[in-house]
Amino acid sequence: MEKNPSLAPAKPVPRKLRKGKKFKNRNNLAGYIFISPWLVGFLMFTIIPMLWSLYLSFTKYDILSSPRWVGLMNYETMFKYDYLFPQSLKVTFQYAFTAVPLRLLFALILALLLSQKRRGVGLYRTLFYVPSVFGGSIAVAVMWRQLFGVNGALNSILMALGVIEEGIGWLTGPNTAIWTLVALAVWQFGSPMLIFLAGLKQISFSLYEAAMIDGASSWQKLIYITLPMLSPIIFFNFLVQMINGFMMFTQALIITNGGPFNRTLMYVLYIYRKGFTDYSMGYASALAWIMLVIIGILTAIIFKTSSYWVFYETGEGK
Amino acid sequence: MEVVISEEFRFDCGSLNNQIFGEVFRLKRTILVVLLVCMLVSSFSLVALAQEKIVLRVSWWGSQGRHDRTLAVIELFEQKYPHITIEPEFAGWDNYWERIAAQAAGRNLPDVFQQDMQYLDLYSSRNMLADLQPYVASGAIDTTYISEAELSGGRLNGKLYGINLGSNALVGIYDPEIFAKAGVEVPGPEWTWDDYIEIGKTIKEKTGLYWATQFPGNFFHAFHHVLRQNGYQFYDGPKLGYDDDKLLADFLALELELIEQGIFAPYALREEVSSVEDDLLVKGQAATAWAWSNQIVAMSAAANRPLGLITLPKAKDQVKEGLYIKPSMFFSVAETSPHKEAAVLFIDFFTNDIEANKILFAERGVPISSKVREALAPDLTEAQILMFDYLNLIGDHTSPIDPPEPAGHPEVNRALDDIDSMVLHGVISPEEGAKRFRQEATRILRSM
Repeated sequence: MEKNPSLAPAKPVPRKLRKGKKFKNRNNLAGYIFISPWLVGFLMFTIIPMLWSLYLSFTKYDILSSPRWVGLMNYETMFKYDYLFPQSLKVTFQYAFTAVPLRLLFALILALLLSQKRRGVGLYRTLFYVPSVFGGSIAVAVMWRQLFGVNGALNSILMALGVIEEGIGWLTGPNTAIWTLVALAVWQFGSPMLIFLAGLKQISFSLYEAAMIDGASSWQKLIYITLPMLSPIIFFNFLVQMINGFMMFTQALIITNGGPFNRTLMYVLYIYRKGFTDYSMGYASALAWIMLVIIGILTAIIFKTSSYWVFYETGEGK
Repeated sequence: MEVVISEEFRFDCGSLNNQIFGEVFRLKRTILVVLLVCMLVSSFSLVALAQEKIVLRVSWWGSQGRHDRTLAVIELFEQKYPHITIEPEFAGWDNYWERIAAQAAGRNLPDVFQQDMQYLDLYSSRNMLADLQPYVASGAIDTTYISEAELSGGRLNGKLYGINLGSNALVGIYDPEIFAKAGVEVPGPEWTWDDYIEIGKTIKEKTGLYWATQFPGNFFHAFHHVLRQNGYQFYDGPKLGYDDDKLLADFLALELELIEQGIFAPYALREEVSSVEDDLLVKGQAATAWAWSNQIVAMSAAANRPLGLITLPKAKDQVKEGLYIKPSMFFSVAETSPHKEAAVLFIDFFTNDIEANKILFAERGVPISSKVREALAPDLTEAQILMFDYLNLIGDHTSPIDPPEPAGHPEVNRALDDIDSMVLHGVISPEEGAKRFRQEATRILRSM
């Protein structure tokens, strides 16, 4: 800190006061100045819009004219009359609770395979990561549409193999549409895979060595060493991916646009529709706040239960 | 900083030779004056530059054909008025309205943007649209060759919120070759829904092709057509304009039956059609496509073979004509636009310039200026002659247009689509669907 006096506050501080408490404050101030770019951004682009949307959630606001206070009306409509609210929640939970575990499982299996020291493993790591680089993009979503279309690649392959006789409308089938979205999500396992890989490298080889001396099989090593040692990473990945899962939007918009009859109406897509298609920004804000509460509760639950299954080496199993 | 230096300067002045510093002072003043003049000149020239260079944002929705034509006209406009640069923004229908909403929220609407009947009420009632009447009165928009009937669609509460870009009506576009192959005679304007089903059946049996992708227009437009034939409006103010749910139930049941018999394309296939270019008629999988008359231009360009036009079927013992002529779309000027004069200049050019209209070629519908129509007549392609003739032909088979849809219509329309697809997937019966739609629509319209 002292090495860089130019960053000291502009007001000169009397020499006597420079030591002790005041000095500490001065240090704090420098710290705040250092984080100010982030802090300003956080206030301007996160906190203020959030509070604004909280206010909007108690209003009727059609974007084009100024908001009008309606109290709890939006929330009342949501819980009493709007059947799309429970429907979109159902769809989102269905998606998050299937896509996320499947994606993590895939990521973990591949991370285990790719953590072995073999020739060319770097190439494989890169290749497996590629889908995640452009996985969230519009282009892939459009490609997915083509892939699962009635005259798409999947149907062509299945028909060539004689599995089906007529093209199936995967994207428009009420029971298949959501699984095309889940499949896309699973395919983008790259980023949790990389985190798993990093986690696997952290595990001390001495543990495996000791296990080998005790004659443990590779299965036992996986169950009794790798997974417990990796559990903080699994916990982290699970949490992050879960939150991501609940915020899924682009793919649902491009690939199925919520259809058929709202079977893939993701919650965030519903918020978007309410806000930007129906011009009910107040109602959309109320929906968004409910989502915040749900994600909050879910995160709390995951944290609470983590003490039962997450193992921290330093903290005596806590 | 400045203050500190000059104070030091004055202090030094007192202690040293006054004359020298008087000189320096004078010099300083001269420099100051020169600088000031420089600044003034430069700011004047900036103002002059700003007056010279206007950037106008123009936004529209449409297909690739429309984008190409409109961009070419913009280029022509920029050549004629070099001080105006146009920033085009274009998209398909869905994305267009989402973007316009976001821009409206940010008070950042394009200077000139394409407007639709169903949003005219919403945007004008929120003071988003400039009244164009003064510009029509002053002659900035030349209406010498435009009749009042052509302009009236853009009028609301005594103000003119949009200039009609072309007249339009629902139409059936058919492939004559498929009709010939099936040995079916092309129906005249007096045909009925029964004929519609009968011909569909024959086409399916003889050629194996679909009769149509879906009902004329889309489910909403087709049902609207049926309601009009029965003497109802879709909306009566902010509520549904019909009481008998059987009308909707029967229509849903008919659709279900037509799909089951393979006369209509299956739901999955229909849902994949998102632009004129991948319409089943264009791809040679269906005998007809049902759209707005201006779309014949894009459709025949995409199909690249001769197509014909037929009217929508009439109902047996109908109360009134279901067909109507409507302004296909408007150009509106944003109330927030700082360049309204230039915006109006562009609209005038778009409406009245012969050369521009030769490029646009009635793609947005039959032009409203009679002079433009005359000028286009010799060059019209087959598709356009069809469109011009069609609008002349249906004059006797139309009734006046209903008032603009109330706010909340997009949501009601979506509810109708949802219920339609639920019925088609057998989740609910047509009767349940009709009942449910009334509940939903009533709730949505009440909440507006």
